[in-house]
Amino acid sequence: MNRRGIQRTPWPVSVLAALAIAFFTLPLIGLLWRAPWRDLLDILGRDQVRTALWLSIRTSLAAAAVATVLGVPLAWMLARSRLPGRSAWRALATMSMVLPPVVGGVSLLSSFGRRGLFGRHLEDWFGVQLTFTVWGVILAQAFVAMPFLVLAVEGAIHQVDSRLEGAARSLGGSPWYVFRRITIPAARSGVAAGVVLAWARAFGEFGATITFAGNYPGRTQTLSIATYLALDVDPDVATALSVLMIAVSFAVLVGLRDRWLGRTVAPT
Amino acid sequence: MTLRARIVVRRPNFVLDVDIELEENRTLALVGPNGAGKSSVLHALGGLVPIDDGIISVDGRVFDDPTSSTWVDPSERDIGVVFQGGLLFDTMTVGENIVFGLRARGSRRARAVEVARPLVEHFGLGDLLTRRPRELSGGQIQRVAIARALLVRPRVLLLDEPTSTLDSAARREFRGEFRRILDGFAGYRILVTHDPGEARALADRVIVLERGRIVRDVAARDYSGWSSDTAGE
Repeated sequence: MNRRGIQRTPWPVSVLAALAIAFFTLPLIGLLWRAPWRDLLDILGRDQVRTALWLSIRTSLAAAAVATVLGVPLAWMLARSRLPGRSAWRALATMSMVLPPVVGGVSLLSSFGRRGLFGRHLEDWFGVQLTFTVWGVILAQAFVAMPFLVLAVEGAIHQVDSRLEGAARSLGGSPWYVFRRITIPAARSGVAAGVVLAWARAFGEFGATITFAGNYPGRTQTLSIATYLALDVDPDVATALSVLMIAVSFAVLVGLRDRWLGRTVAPT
Repeated sequence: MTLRARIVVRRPNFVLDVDIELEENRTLALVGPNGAGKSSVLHALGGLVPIDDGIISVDGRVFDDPTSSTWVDPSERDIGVVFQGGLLFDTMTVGENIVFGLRARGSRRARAVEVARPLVEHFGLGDLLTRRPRELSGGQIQRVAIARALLVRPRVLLLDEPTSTLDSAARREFRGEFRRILDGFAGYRILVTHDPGEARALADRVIVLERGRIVRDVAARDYSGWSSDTAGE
């Protein structure tokens, strides 16, 4: 800290910030303290755990991919198009972020469930069932995760100098070519941040997933669902799974932060 | 062959209303104070801003005419724009910037590079192709921006303050080179500048804009400053 500069930290700010850090750190310390370190490898090596972990990794990556493919164009529409009622569309697109996840799950059930508004036709016409399948897990995760991506990417596109897009258009670029070659590359750090945030949200998703896709080991039982269920039966297993999820999330966030996430805050 | 542009653009605090006719192989300089509407004229010609009234046509082909709802997309206008500050794409190398127009029109990379080679050599850019725009000097940025605009063989070349990133010594040095570039370009050339000396040296004709209107339209040799009683610079 620079004591001579005018940017000295006011002491109430330091105290409250330290409290905030403690607020985030203490639960982690508690968890690590409770973790069954001696049996950890044994627990994590169990078939059910490995299956749940593998399912979580696959579904969260797929959900992040769905969120990216649909969310990046939506973010562009919100940032650049003359769409009427843009703020209403934005509110709609980001609602699942503030909605209790279980409510998200219930609304997915009423729309895409077997007896839902659209789900019944999916089943009648195409023989597709989303509920209680791995597709349902991906759908629920993408539903909850996409807003994080949309907001991050929209913010990044706003930062792109629109004159660059004009220059590209005057050079002969079609709107689609300019989107792919100018806008998205210029907003890439925001896109990367959005993908990581969406993935992290999908990886940890619980409420919407269990409501919509249920809890079938090997099919829809993700790591967070397995953790919640284990809490009743064997708290040691729940703690071990929690340590595993923290390790995975932490590794991804730390590994990517400097490369991508940091740059959105301070472009170099 | 002529370029005709009656451009009316209405904004809450500003109305641009100009009428310009330009013959082929002539260079027109648009001068005037900041906010006079010089860049807006270029943007309207390039199709980056639709006009609210008037008509824009080049060689008889109408690009923008609100009364008949004619609108030609900027990508199909055959107008090369050199933007203020160059506006190179930072996410690409210099070489990718130069061939952008050809690639956007569907040329394969190898073909585009081959077509660009004479221009790259002409502008002395051969050593810079793998560099990033942020590593270039002001003069190099301008050369790349001009090469990028010329590569697609436009009928109209629009230059928006092409020397604004250069210091005054480099600007004078660059003038001769600019003159050669403009003279070598077959088509219509419009240059926006706030430097009366540059307008005199590079253009055949000078139009002075003030608050969105033409206040003078003279041969370049008769032009001495922004308006009859102010001495520019």
